[in-house]
Formats: sequence, structure tokens, C-alpha cells
Amino acid sequence: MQKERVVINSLMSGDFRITSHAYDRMLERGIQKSDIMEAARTCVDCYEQKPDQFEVTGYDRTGDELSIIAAYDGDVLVITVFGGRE
Amino acid sequence: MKTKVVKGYYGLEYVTVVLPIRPSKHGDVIAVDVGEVEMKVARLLIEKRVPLRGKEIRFIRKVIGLSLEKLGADLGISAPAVLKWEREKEEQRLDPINEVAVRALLAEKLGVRMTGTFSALRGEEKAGKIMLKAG
Repeated sequence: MQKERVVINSLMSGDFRITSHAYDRMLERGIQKSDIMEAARTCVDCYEQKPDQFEVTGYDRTGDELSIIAAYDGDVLVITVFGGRE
Repeated sequence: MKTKVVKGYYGLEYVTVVLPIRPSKHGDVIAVDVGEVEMKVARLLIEKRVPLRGKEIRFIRKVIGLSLEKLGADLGISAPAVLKWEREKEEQRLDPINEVAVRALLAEKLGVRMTGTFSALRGEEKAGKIMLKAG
């Protein structure tokens, strides 16, 4: 399976970890785990921005655009998150 | 193990969460499932009968995975009415009748057993401090 698909599937199913930095961003912006899962489910764009690191863009549970930067090394790790207007 | 202390968890000024962290090549990583932490906090908010304002409703609704439409439908009101509670009443406590109904419904969704008089279901006058040590 393509790595992009594996990353999206892991994000959709909630099977991922989060960096402390990404968590600070989530707390600051009110983004909960379900928002990340929803953004992966509604994914409109996913590309490998550098080796084994992907940017996934979709919509959170309130319909706002949400991008997730996730690293893949067998497991999926959310490195940061940002909204469409950032 | 190192920990990360989050005060004012998701804008809930009385909630402090302590999370274990571990190092990785991408920096410190939260060593527990943050979704499980959210669920524990949501249950504590209901069990401790904290006053329900927009921020509590929004937080719990998202933990449960309810849309504005679904929560509104379950309460017999519109999605914009729920959104109004969540946004316009961010710092204001719900009216008593609405607070009892919302607390009872969220308790049911979270599997928290609630019994008592109307006043008990209305909740505490003020939220006490909540500290959750995860992991």
C-alpha cells in the first residue's frame, strides 16, 4: 500500500501519536483528536513534502480547513497542525 | 519519565492534565492516547457536575463525536441553537432547564450514571479544580 494511504488510514482510525509541539498547537486552537481523524476522513490533498513526511489537508469537525504534518516510520506521528488561514 | 503539565486544558481554566512524554527524533512525543485523555476529562466534567457553559458543551460534544445537528436533534432543537450556546454563551452558564437536559443527555452518551433531584442535575455552583494524571 502507498505510504500516503497508510498515513491517511492511521490518522482516520486514530492510530497515531502526537508531538508535544503539535499538542500545544491543538490546545491553543481547540483542535481535538476527533478533528484530526475527521480531516483525514475528508482529505482533499495529501503529498510527501519530504522523505517520510506528509502533509494531509481536510476539514475538521466544524468544517474548517485543517492541515496535518505527519511523519511515518512504521508508526504515524503528528508533528504539527495548522488551519487554512495560517 | 518526563511529564508535560497542561493548565487550562482546552480553555477549561479549572482543569490541569499531566501527560507523560518521551523523546523522539522529532522532539518530545505525548506517550499516551490523547483521545483517551479527552474522554476521561469529559467524564470527569459530567461526574463532578461542573457548570455547563459553551466551552464544556463543545469539548464534550467533540469527544463523543456528535455533530451540532445530532446533538440538536437529540435535544429537540436546531443545530444553530446549539452553536449559539457554544459561541455566544462561551462564558455564560446555560439556563437551568437547558443545563439539566444537556447534562443528562451527555451523561447518557458518555455512559455516566446520573441520579438526583433537579438541583443535583443542575450541577455545582462553581467548578472545583480537576487534576488528571494520565498514563
